[in-house]
Amino acid sequence: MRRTILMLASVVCLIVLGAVMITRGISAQNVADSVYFPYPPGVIPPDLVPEIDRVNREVKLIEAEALAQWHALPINSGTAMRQVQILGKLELFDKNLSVNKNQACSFCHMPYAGFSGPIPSVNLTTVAYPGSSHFRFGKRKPQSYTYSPFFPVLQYNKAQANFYGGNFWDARATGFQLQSPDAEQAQDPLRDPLEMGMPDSACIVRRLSLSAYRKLFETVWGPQAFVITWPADVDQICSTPAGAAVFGGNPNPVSLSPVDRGRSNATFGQYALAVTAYEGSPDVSAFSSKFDAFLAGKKTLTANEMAGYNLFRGKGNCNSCHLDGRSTTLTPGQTDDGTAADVAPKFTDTTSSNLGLPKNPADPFYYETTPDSFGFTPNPAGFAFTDLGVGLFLRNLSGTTPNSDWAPLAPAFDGFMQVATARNVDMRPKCPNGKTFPKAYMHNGYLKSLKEVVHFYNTRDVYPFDVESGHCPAGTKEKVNCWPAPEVPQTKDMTIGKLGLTPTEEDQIVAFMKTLTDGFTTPYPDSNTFTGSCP
Amino acid sequence: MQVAPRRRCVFCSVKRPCGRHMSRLLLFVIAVSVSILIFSVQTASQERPAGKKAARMRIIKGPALESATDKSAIIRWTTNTGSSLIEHSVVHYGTDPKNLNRRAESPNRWNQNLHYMTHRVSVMNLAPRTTYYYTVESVRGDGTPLGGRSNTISQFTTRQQQ
Repeated sequence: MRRTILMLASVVCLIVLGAVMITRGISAQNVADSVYFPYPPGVIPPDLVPEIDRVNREVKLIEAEALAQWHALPINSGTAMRQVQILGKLELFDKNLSVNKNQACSFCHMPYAGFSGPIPSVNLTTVAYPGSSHFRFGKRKPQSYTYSPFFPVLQYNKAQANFYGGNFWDARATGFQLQSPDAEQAQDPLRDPLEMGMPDSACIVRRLSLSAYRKLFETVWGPQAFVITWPADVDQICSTPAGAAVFGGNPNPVSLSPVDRGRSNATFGQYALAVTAYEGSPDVSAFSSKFDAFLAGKKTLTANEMAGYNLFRGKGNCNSCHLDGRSTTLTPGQTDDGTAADVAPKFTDTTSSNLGLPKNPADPFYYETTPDSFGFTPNPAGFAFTDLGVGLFLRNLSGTTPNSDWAPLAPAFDGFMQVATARNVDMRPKCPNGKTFPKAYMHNGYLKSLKEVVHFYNTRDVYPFDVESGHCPAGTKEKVNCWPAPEVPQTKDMTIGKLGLTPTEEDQIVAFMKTLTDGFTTPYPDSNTFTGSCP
Repeated sequence: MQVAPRRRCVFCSVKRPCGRHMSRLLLFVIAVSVSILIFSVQTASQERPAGKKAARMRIIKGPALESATDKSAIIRWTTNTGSSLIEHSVVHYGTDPKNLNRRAESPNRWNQNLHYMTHRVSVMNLAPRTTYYYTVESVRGDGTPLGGRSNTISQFTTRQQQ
């Protein structure tokens, strides 16, 4: 009897032990599966996780500041503009608008970096930033928010045979519906599987309805904004990353009535308009640089900066695209009286062009060829993927083109990327250790300093080598006297490539571009929130 | 220079012809006229609004080979002006000077601050150690001719295979 009891007890113990081990094993397997990591050693910077935490702490501080700004604001018609701007700020610094409630829009766009990438090690390596679903990475450098609201609705100008306006490197945020490319841009990363990863635009509306600033949203846009009958599974759906196999490609997995869907869409549009109200406000697009003071006749440029300015609009050809608002170049004997044709130049003509940049093999996107635990494969083509920019968009391969008449134009725009504003290209925080905060430039972040940018424009066709990045011949140095082959050679813009600038002239253009950093005439909001260090 | 006699010199009030002073006056008038003419031409080229019709584009330098490899070349030339903010500079080329049946074009931006426009075209997929003949012109992105066409056929030779 006793032996039987012991045997039974042993069996029970073994079963329990087995069950525990199996359960723990599955659990461990789940943890491993939930982190997508198809990258070989050396691709992802080792300090990525602590740096994500650091930026999230900074985001939280600015979010708290925005909440305080809202609570301190008297709500009346005289503060209506400020209300919508603060609402936009709250939205941009709200990490709950991402699928895993762990990433705000501003995670990739912090004020101290000119509203671009805030992590030094990422800027120096992957350039693209990890999304809410760890660790899916996007494929391009985060663009700056500054002055993005000043881009017009995308239009094909037949006289110039070029596209003007739009937002994003590939101009896919056309502004066709909200009549604001910047607002439509603000809608995109929230739903991008590689970024904030929401599976349905209704999920953003759902999270807004649960936010701490819902009341402000309703004050600005009206009490109807969240009068939506949500299905019981809405929060479960909204916690599953976009692109998951379970959705079967359905872009609207949250089941809503047609009327509720329409209301959700309208509220999502209002969300976006508030974002652009903030981005177009002096909090972000401040026109407070030394150059603005110069245009106002309140400050003179140094001899070096002035020489750089004259090169920028003359020999360097920079203002062929980065318009400076001036109409003429000084000729010998003339003096600059500070008069400008445009007292608030944006330093972009809002077109796009193919500068002939090489592929950046450090981009983690090239390694994302296998499915993650949700059955989503970010980049099935791997290294064969060619970033055609505007051409990609016109082929409906990034976003959906709202004008099918543009489709035949795609080959002529292969490799074209939007002409970014030259304003704030040097906005960066002061590092506690005295080093320079590194930034990345161009759509794929291949260039790492303004000097490299100008040197590339100056010598791209002086030191061309038919190699990929990392394979310059012995005796040459990449980015100094070796430029690898363009990713998209056939449409390469030839305005640049051999400008004949001396090293001193390159430095002078850099000196001028540094005068375009906001915060000179008045302090730039939230520019002192960097708490990291620089390598 | 002969000056007709006059009764009173307008410069020194002497009651007799004053040829020396009149000669100086005429030289002064000529100098002022030429200066105004030159200044007005310069001003017109500097202040031409973007939408205003540009001067007729003509080549003032080149075309010539800027650089070449075994399979590509860059052709460069300069015109007195541009015609459009964004132009497509074109090279018509071939191995037979009587049959320039191939075409390469590259986008080029016209910096209106400069009193000229540089055109550069990247010609790709060439054969090594081969002589090509070419002419150049400028068009809009949609193919509309903008002028600046070369009148003569030029040539270049690619490098030996590396």
